[in-house]
Amino acid sequence: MIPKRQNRRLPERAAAVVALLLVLGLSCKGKGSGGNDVIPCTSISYTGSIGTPAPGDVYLLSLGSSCDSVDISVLVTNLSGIFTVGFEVDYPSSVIGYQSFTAGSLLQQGSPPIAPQFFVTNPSPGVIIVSGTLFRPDTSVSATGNAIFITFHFVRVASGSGAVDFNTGSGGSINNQVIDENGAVVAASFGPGHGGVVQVP
Amino acid sequence: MTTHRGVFRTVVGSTGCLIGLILLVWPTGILQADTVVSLTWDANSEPDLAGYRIHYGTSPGSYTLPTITVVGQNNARTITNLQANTTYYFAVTAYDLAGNESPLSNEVAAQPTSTTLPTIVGALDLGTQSIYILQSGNQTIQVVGTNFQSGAVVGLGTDVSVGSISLLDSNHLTASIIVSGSAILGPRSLRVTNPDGATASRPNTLTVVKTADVNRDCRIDLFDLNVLARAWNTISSESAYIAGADLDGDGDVGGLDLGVFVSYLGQRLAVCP
Repeated sequence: MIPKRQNRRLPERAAAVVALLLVLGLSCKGKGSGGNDVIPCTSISYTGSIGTPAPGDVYLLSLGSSCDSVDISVLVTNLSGIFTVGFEVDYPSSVIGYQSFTAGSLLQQGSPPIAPQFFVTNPSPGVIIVSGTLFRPDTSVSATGNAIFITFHFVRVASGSGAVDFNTGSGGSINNQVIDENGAVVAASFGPGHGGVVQVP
Repeated sequence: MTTHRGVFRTVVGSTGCLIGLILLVWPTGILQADTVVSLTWDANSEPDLAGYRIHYGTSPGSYTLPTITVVGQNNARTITNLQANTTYYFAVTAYDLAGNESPLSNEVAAQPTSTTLPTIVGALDLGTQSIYILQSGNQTIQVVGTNFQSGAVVGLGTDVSVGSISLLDSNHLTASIIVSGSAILGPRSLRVTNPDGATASRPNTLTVVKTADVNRDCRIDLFDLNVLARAWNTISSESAYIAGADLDGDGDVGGLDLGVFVSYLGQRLAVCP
């Protein structure tokens, strides 16, 4: 009886093995056949130029990136009297594209009753113009240590590299400035040398 | 296509006002049926002028149709929806704030015929793509509508000079304008008058605002934004109110002013005051 039972199950087992092999074979096709292989990639990198920021420095720093995007933040170091901030940032549009921004915590300190407003325009590829301000009756805020004013989200365009930096020349659409709640200019430095280089593999 | 003009004789009414009336009758032969007569008359210069009344009817000296009141100093009116090939008789009176009314002016007769009326859908300042036009500003506006004709004239009031006008097509025209530094702030009616005299007028089409260059450094930048933010949510009776930041001149500094400002942020003035 026993040998007879074994004989009956052999073809069933063989069929199951064949089916398994077929499934494995179908799901393990090579790249050329359109399979779902995970291709390793290298993240976009950003290397800041500034070493140790000094009080009053406004500079660019990347706090995160992936193969397809990079976030670059504008930070302010140890500065008080911040009410209105504006600047122009230039970036290499041949390798990355501006997508969006996220307001940082700097102007949001103390949950001001009048929400700060940010005006960000991308008038042409490679240029971002930013203004942000608090509103009366809010008062100026301070950056203690390093505080994020705004973060830009860029996406990959093509391989290559280029500088991301404040436009400190005279031809910018807006002056790089920090102004306090009395209308006085605060001594802040936007560079030169407060940007960095983005490398897209 | 001919335009007929008749000049009313001048009369002096009980209010002392001087009225001379010019009649324009629009001719036939144009596409869309509507019949109009446009009247203009000499403006009354008395300080207590309240407006004018247009009396008209279809028999000489018998003004049986509903009187049309023109409030204020506007000394022109296009009367629409008249019957073609019917002769109408018009006379105008002026009235003052106390209700005194002058005698009728002389009478003019007109037989309106069909014409094409333009319409205005809207207008924008091309520089900012907004409805705001700056005091002391040289700007170019685009007017969108229908039935615009080559040679059309654009009007925005006496304190806005209109320069060259370009007809892009029958639905679009552009006009360069110069807004006086003392131009009254606020919404403006825009008027387009075709060469055949047919006129469209649209209220609240553009808004005259103060220059967004609040601190007058010829740039519209962070300093101006800072001034506006520091005066935020104030009214004219408050000490923190800054008149220069009240761009629309409505007595408070708020969202409308910020909206105006943002339209111009980053620009330099074409003409530096």
